[in-house]
Amino acid sequence: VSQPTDRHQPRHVDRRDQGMRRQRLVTQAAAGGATALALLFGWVFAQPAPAPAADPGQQKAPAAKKPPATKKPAAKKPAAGTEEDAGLKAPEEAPVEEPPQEEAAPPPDTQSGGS
Amino acid sequence: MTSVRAAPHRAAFPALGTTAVLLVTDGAALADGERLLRAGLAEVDAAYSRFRDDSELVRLAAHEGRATAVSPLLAEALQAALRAAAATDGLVDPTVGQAMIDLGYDRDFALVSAHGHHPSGSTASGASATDSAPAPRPAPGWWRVRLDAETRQVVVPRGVRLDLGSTGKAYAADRAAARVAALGCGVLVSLGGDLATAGPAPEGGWLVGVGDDHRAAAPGDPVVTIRSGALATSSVTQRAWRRGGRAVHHIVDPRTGDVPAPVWRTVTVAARSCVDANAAATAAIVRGDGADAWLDGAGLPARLVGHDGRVVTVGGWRSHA
Repeated sequence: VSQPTDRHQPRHVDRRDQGMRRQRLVTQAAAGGATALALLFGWVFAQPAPAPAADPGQQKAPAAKKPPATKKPAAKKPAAGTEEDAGLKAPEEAPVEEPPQEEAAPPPDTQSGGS
Repeated sequence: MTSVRAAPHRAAFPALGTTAVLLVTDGAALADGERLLRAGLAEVDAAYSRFRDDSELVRLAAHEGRATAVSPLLAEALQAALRAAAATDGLVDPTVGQAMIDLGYDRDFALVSAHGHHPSGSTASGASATDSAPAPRPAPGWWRVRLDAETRQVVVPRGVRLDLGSTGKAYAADRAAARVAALGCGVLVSLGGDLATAGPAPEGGWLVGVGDDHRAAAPGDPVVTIRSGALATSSVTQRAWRRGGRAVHHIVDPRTGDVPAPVWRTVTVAARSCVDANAAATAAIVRGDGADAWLDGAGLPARLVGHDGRVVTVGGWRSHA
């Protein structure tokens, strides 16, 4: 006498459901992994370039070939000043050296030199 | 018959770790002029001395990374320093403060040299001057300092130490000369050999000796006449000491954080303002090879003396050599 069971569907239908669940899991895992990778790459490429102070290639004292001067990013506005006063301005008149004096010349008013 | 040139009236006193000299064309203005100069230099010292714990610049370090309001004087000095940095392509950079400390220049130079060339043999931090010095590192970069000149808000990034030494003294000279000239006379203010003029020059112009040392002329040093503008000299022969078994000095190459390659010993530049003259002279020492052409291209009259003693004049500097 066959025993009554609570199986409502044939066995092949049950297997098909299991396969679909497995496939759904794989699809979800792949999508999650792709999202994580995209976020990781986005974060990596969003990082700013290393500051000059952290550049290990520059930690040795003056090499034969000097690196370029530390320049500000070209796209940024100068932190101070305007374009019109950005350069160093020449004097109205250049200094004129006094001719060498054979006689005792009056001393200069002051001295410019290192300090 | 040749007229006898009347020498300008003069006052001199120690200030900012060097010598301040005031020349005026009107003797009646000398006392008031000196009072203005002393007061102005005291303000400068309180605003941006690197060696005073209570200076505004030192206290600014406690607010690193945050926008902080600063005094008009510090804002103007910072603005001058940042402008000089931009104009010299970063060769004169106010963010070399840590590099200066790493080289051992961490206190007033009068104390450094009190016992020899780094005579006590130690830095303020206690390290021996002959200890192996930290490896030089490039300056963080002047553009990292944010200054809003209108609101006087400044942001100094974390870890950045400012040193306005190069342009700070020159800015003080420009500022003082303009203030004293308001008394109605011709003025020359010299701070450690970096000098600014304002007002009418005396008859025959200002006579200025040019050499390695602002304190004394050496035989053969030329004397130049200037009638306006400013003159500044940078030299590696002054403020020099030994560190890590080698000779170093107070001029730092921001690209390396170390002293520049020894090409020029002393560079004197004339410009419209003392800040510009000082920035150009210091940048020329740092630039080394090609500095003469750079100054010439900028139209700045200059006299460069190499370590080998050769003298080069450019930019219209009229020499008799």
